[in-house]
Amino acid sequence: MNKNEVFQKFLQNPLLREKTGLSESRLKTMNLSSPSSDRLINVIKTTILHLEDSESVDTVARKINQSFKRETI
Amino acid sequence: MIIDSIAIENFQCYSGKLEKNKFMFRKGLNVIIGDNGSGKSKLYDAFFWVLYDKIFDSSTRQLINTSDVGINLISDKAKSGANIGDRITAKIQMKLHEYRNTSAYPNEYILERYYTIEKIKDSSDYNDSECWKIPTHSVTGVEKKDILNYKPLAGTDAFDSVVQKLIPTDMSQYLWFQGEQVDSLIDFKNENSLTQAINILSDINYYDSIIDIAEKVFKQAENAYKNELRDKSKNEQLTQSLTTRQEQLERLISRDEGDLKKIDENLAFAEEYKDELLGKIKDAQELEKIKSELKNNRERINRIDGELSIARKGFNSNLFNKHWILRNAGSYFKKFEYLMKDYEEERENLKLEHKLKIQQEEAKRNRLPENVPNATYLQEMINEKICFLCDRKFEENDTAHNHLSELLEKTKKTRVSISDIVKNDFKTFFQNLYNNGYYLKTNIINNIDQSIANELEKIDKLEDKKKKAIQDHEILDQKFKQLLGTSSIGEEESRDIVRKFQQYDKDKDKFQHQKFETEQRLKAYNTELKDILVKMRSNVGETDKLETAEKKEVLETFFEIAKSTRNLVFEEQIRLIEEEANKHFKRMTADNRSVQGKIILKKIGNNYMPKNVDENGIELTSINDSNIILIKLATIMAIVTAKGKSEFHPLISDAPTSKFGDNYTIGFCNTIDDVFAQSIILSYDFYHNKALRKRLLDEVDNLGAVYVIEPSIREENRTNRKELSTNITLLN
Repeated sequence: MNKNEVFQKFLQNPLLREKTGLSESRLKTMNLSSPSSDRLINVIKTTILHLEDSESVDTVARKINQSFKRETI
Repeated sequence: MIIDSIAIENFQCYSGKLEKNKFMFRKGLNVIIGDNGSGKSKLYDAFFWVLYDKIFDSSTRQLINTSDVGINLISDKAKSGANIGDRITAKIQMKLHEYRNTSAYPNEYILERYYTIEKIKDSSDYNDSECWKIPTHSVTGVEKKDILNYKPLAGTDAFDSVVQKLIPTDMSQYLWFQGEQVDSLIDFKNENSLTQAINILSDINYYDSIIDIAEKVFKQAENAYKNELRDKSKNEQLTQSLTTRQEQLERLISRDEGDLKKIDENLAFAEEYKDELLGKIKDAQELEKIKSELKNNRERINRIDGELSIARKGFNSNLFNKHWILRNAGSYFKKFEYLMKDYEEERENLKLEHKLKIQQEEAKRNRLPENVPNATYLQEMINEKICFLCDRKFEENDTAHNHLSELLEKTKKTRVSISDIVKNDFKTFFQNLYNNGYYLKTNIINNIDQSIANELEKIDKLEDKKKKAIQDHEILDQKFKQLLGTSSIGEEESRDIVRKFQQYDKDKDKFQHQKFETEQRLKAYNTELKDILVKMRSNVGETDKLETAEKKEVLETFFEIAKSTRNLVFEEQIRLIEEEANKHFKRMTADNRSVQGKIILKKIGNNYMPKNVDENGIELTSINDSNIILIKLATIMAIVTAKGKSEFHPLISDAPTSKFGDNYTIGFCNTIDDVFAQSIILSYDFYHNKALRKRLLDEVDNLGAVYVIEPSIREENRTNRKELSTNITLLN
């Protein structure tokens, strides 16, 4: 299973639709390289992309935290 | 990877050069057929040794290292013919190539392993380790084909990396096993085995890592949020007390969540064990019911036997106690009566005769008629002292007086007493007997028949009761045996099953109750925790912006979704394996109509186990050993094929079909081709069973090479192993 397939598994989860309020058709158009304004989607993307690079749990966690800081700034 | 060949030199029973002991394999199913003791296991060892430097010790059922096998690795024939200074090498060479769907030229490799010993001393026993210089390690070699020629691959891990390509460590147990290991691969007693397999063969670990990350960032964000709430609090005292309660609740929640997990596991096991018995409980309860009825009936028979025994004993004692011995003696009484009359008549006759005789004798003596003069006259004459016959008077004690007195005495003597005639007179005795007999006859003998009839009727009734009880017993016993025959439960097992079923049922209720209580408590704690956060938030002031709030919220959702997605993927994987397992199971059992049900992977606690269930989902418990092995093999195949046919790794298995009948064996051979691009199986089954061998050659699709191996000297004709080698014949 590659990173895009993992991302799709998240997008197909009904709980994600419920929590984000994003429509099924909107979620279907998403992929790892396309930008998103949804913070949760961005966190999922960050996680998958960095894990794919064989980074450790701590490193990926740090990168997620950094992404929040960047957005706040 | 596809194995092209394996060549063996002086390795155990494979004596001689590589060229002599060479097996060429193809894609599809390759089979090596051999009798017991023909060298199949040694060939399996050869595969294992060349790749892993270990062989399987059948006595300890453990894998042992080359250093521990020592000179036993080398062929006896080679060792027995060696002279001092000779070096003997056990060598195995395996050729393989990477399997590719594309037309690209595949990489080809040669893997080799050597082990050389040198003879240093003579001995009568060539297996004496003192005679040999033995190295501690074997030597490996790996070569890769470069257009035309093989060239050694550099690097210390080059050998291992090719082995990894052929059989990755995490998959090796599913690609490489002996028939007898199938049980432990998917061990029905070890609930983790399937879950572990899924963890190894799927990407589920990837999702686990995402959960770890999500949990980490969420906890950090949550702490930051709490800190911010505390920092911006307008009522420090209230915040302090809320924080204390919050920490307390978090500890309680953590404890209860841990407890809930254990309760869930316990509940799952209780449900599982109870469900496992569902298929047996009906029979077990029925068997127990019949057992109890049989026991009661046995007691009933014993009771009747007791009563019968008493009645029969009474029958004997009644001969005397109730005078039954006198039955029909009434006629004897009548006879006795006649005889007694006869006796009395006879007695009187005797008396009369005797009297007559006396009188006659007297008459002769007196020449007087009998009783003349009679005693009365004689007495009167004596009293009056005058003879009435001659009117002469006489005086007392004179001659006439004395004569008359004498006559009177004689007259008296004519009164006959029976004691004068017979020694014993039984008249009184007989009369007494008669009197007693009369009482017996009227009061007892006349009632004996009725009394006997009453007792006989009582015994008859008891015997009828016993007969009925025995019939009931036989019916119950037959029912019991029939049930035992159709059920999978042993005679002694049913009680245990009923007892366990009741216990699991109780446990299930207990754990359900505990679960409900813990969940209610957790719900209350979480509600209170949320309330505390709301209170803390209001303590900050509605207008004050909390910088960490949104991040905490997003990451909390991320954590929740990560867990949920992992579960969805895992469930998907489970359903995929289930579907695959059923496909393989169906194919393997296609020729056997007796096989029922389907495989489901049942969740037990946090784990999954393969189960054979009927159309209603009830577990089939009456399945035999071959079916269990089939279910396990189907599950192993499903694990391998869940991501598609294993084009990259071959299956190598010793005796995987040893527990199967002919149809299952052919079913297995056909199915294995759906799972593995190449498989190499070693089998005894096709050796003696020529019909099965023919079916293998005729019916199995995509058949690779089929070899027969036989020892040069059969085991029963072998006095030693000095001349032992292995003959290899290709059948197709």
